Amino acid sequence: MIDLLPLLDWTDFVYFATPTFLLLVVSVVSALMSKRSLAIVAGALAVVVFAFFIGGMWHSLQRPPLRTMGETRLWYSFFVIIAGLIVFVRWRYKWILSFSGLLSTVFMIINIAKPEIHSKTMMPALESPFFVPHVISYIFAYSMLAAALIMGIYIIYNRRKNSSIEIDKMIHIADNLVYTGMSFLMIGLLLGAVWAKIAWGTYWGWDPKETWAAITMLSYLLYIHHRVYCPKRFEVSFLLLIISFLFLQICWYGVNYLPSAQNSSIHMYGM
Amino acid sequence: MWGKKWGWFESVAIVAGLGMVGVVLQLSVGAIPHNAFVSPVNIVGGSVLVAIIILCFTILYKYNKKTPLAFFAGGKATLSSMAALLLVLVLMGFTKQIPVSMGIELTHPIHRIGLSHILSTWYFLILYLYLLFVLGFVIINRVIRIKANLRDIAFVMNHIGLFITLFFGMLASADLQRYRMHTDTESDYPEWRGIDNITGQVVDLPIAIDLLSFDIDEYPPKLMIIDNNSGKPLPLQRAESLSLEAVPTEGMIDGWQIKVKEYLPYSAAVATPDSLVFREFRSLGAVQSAKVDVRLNEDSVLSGWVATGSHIFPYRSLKLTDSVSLVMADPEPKQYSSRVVLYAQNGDTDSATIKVNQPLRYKSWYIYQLNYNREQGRWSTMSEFELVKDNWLWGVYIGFAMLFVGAAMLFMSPLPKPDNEKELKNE
Repeated sequence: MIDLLPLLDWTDFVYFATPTFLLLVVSVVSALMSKRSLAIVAGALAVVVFAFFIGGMWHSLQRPPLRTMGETRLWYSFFVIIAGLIVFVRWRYKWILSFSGLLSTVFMIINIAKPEIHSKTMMPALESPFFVPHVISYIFAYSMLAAALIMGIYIIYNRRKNSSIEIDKMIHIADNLVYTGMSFLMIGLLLGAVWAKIAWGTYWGWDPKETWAAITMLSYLLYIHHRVYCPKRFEVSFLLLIISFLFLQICWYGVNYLPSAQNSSIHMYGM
Repeated sequence: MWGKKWGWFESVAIVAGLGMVGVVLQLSVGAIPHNAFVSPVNIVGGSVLVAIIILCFTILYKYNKKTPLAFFAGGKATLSSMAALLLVLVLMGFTKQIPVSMGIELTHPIHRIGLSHILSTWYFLILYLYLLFVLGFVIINRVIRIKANLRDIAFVMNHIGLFITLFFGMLASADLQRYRMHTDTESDYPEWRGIDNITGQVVDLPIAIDLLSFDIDEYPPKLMIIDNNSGKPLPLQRAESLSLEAVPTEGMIDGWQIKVKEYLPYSAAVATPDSLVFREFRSLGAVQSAKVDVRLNEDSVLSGWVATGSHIFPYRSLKLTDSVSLVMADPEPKQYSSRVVLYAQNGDTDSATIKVNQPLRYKSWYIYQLNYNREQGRWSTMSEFELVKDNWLWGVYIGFAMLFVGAAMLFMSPLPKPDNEKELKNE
């Protein structure tokens, strides 16, 4: 088979991040200037360039690039662009690309400024078919929920303008993003649970990372149910959205720094 | 309050009351011992819970007690029961958790109120049961008027799936048995004794394991530069290494140019009249070694051997200056596996290779590869297993399957659009 993917190293990232960034700028500017097709094409090209880098990393590491914090940030940048594009294509919101592009760029800059050790070794417990879908489901959910938060902030900011029709439509988008994020959180969690049963004996062990995963899940469920039962009180829902997002950050990387979780979590990323 | 329509006051009063009862029980009776709900207590308790939910709902429904019925199947009970459990979990997330057997012994208020072992506290249990109670009410209330559309099916999958998962998860947590077992290839008879993970007691198990062989698959070793005093790899900020995947190879570590000329995965040191060299050696205790050239300055090159150690032979490093040396790090395991024969008490036998991520299943037992003698590394004759028995796994997996379908449906069937969607399009 012809080898399509080059062997890429972390040092090559800047040569992919820069064109991705430039394409994102083109995409954002076109969207703001109402040139819809150009915005979508540029955004899709950015995704392709980024995917090419991830593929190359995967190829040269001989394992999925999902093990270290830096590697998960890579996927986050990638999925945030995709999440932004989906919202843009489906709901035609011009400015969403600016936010998703900015968020993705921030994570790319962190990865250029602070690359982390990316050795090829992977502990035996990670050698599993569940590894890739589990982490990708989670990172995709994280990006969706970040997009939902951006939406929520935008809604609260726009409330002052009192254009209620627009607001309803925007809340609807935020809800859809949370539902999508929630379903991927659930899928990621279930894959992780079944994997855990196969790898080390129980599907749920109340390890600090798992506890925070449960907290995050329950908190977003609270948002969803609050929206169902108290649809008129979006301010409260919005507060739940922010709190849930903070819990999510603790679950993703905050546990690494929590005193209560020191030396006791088996789910730490290689730092 | 407590009038025709129960609202926020009543919902908060109920969870606060239940929480208080839990705290009082916690302070007076103490934490729930880990074996308090061992079968059949959990089966009876679980059945009683389901019976109470169905009975309460039926009575309230039949006698048309609309207020409590609408309350427990409604939004405020849902939100308050979730929020209460969330609060307890957040407390748990921020507090270091220790085993309940340890927590019971300690007298500091944090331990007495159970913050250090929340899963064994009465208030956690009571609020968990209350969530199940409300969830049960919500489910019955929806199921009796269910329609065959996508949203209702998604509702059933997500809510009943969650109920089943939480319900069987609770039963399982009381009955779960975990044992560690040490086996050795040099032992003359199969091992049947296990160490209970919770109590630390040695128990006779209904399963015996005979270890035939133990193998490790390792990553290629790495060369590193270390500080002679501290032993830490350099540069301190971000240690560099050179992997011996394909030899000969060369590379830079912490500014030193290193050329690897020869690599022997199985070798031992041989003394020659003027130095120590490594030669191929395929027997117990063999180490990995490499012959390297290190450029010291413009015109001098240091040549020598570095090697990992084993439980028999010491490791060998190459001193570059008074402060730094070149070493070969112990290779990291890629996979390890044990070839075993399993004997059950009833006469069943099975043979298999157990690997990390590839346990052996026998009835409701799972046998996991846990560890080996790390000092002996690839020459380990000892293999440690974990034996886990979970009688309720099937129930939890049914819940998982429903939740999985429910999550997929949630994603596939987006929320209905707001009513003013049409107006928007005309804009």
